[in-house]
Amino acid sequence: MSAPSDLETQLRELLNAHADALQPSIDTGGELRKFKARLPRERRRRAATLVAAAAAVIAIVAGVATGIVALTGSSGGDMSAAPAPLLPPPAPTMTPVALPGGSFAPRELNGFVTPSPDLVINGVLWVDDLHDGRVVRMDPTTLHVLSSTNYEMQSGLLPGVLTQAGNVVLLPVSAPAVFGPTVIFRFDARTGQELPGIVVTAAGAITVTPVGVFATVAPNTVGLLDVARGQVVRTFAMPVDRSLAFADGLLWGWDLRRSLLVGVDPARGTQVREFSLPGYSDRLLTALDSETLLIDAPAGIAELDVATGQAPAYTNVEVLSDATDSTGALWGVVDGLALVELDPATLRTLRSYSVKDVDLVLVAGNRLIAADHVRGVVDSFDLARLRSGK
Amino acid sequence: MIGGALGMAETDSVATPLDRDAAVTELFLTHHARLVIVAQMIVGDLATAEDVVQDAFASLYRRWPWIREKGAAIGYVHSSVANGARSRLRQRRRMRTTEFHDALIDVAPGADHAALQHDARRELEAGLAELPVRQRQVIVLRYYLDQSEAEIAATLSISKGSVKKHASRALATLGTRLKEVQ
Repeated sequence: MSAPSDLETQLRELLNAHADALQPSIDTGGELRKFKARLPRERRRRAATLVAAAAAVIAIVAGVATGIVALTGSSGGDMSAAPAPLLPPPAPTMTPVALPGGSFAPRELNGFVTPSPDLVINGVLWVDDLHDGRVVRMDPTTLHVLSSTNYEMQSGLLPGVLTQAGNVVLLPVSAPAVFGPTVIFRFDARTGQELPGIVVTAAGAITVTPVGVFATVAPNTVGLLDVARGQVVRTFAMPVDRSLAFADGLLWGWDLRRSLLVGVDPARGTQVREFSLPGYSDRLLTALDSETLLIDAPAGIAELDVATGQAPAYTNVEVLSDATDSTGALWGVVDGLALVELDPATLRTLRSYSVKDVDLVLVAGNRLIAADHVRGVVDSFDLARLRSGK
Repeated sequence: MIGGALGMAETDSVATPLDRDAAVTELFLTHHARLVIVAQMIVGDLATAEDVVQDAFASLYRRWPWIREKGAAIGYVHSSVANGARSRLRQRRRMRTTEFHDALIDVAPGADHAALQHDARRELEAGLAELPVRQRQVIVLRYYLDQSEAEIAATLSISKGSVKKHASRALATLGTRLKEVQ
């Protein structure tokens, strides 16, 4: 009974039995009549959006055609991918212990549905309430709400990560690949007020680099953004999944179909380096420093030096979300059940604390912000107490 | 993606309203019941599940002119339903896990009721009801809709690695519960 195959068989039987029992209660004909009754309203609602979206897409195409020629990136040609690095022995780990007293005050629900603490600007915490279409600015210590801005969020779409670029905060919203226009929302970085968005044919990944702000703007296409004007300046072909990172002067993205991590020169739009990483998955790419990416290795995470192709550090701790504090230490959350501090040089576990249902972490000054997606709560931990263990 | 083979022609042109109405209606009739069941398994009650599916098809209808691969459109509806159900659950927040448990065993009590009385089955139902919503989504998509890891990842807009982690954590939790009653 306890063997996975038996359990899986029971699960299938249970769910199918439930479906059979539920089926007679479902009135598809009646629901279809209700659905058809709302179609005239849906037609009107979409018509206004389509006109604006079509105009914006035409503007992008025209801008590319009349301005700088769109760069068509090389697919790599006969480039041979560097092999996966040899992973060093896993760094030592620790068993989680209880949180230090006073490091965390249990809080009641604070009004979120699916909070994602993404960003800190001038000491103000920015939280995107996923699926609810709301950007909230908060005091990271008291969690007092400073402002709340709603944006148009449609069912089935998924917001990416709030990203600051100068005086603008960008929020790319990904849509399934079969769809056309989606949007990169823009907000005023000082007030949180929504600005006109950038309509694109695909979105999701975005990164701010010393040579500009780059984002997915079409399937397997990256664009250089003029964030102040809300425009796509030029585009080039590049395989991208959910995230982009910048290291060693290159933009990095996943070509999942071929299990490749691909490096593209953003100035020329050409692919100049790639690593073959079968068995590695597409966690959000994080640039730890100018030459190192944190990547999801088999049964853990590893640092990949993209200049040398070496993996200087590896740990069996499977961090799902991570953030770097002012001392350079790397904080992460493991399986929603442990907050860990890792040595960024070796990935050795320095501290590990038991928590419950933490999905995302973010460092905000002397606070560690954590989001609980089960209860829809944002919590704030005292970093000094976490570091001291007291 | 399930539902991809509906025999609907792909087109690059913007569909006329009539095309759109007919196409979305066909998808509705074909997939509505199954999608309501998926949503109900996540949110725990039929009325909310029906609302979630209505919203998903309305969103599909609005976006229909922009869909490049009409045959893959149902994949978008799957995403809408899974994420919409999760969102409704969060908005409700105070849903007791027992509501889902009761919903699982009390709908049409005459059907297969005897089998559902079995201790292991009841334990499994209770365990499923108490899973975090993301794990429950993965379990329902995997074992009811028979989606692959890649399909679940696309439906929920998460990585395949995350799908594996959520699935393994859910199976470990459910397996532990079953061991306790044996």
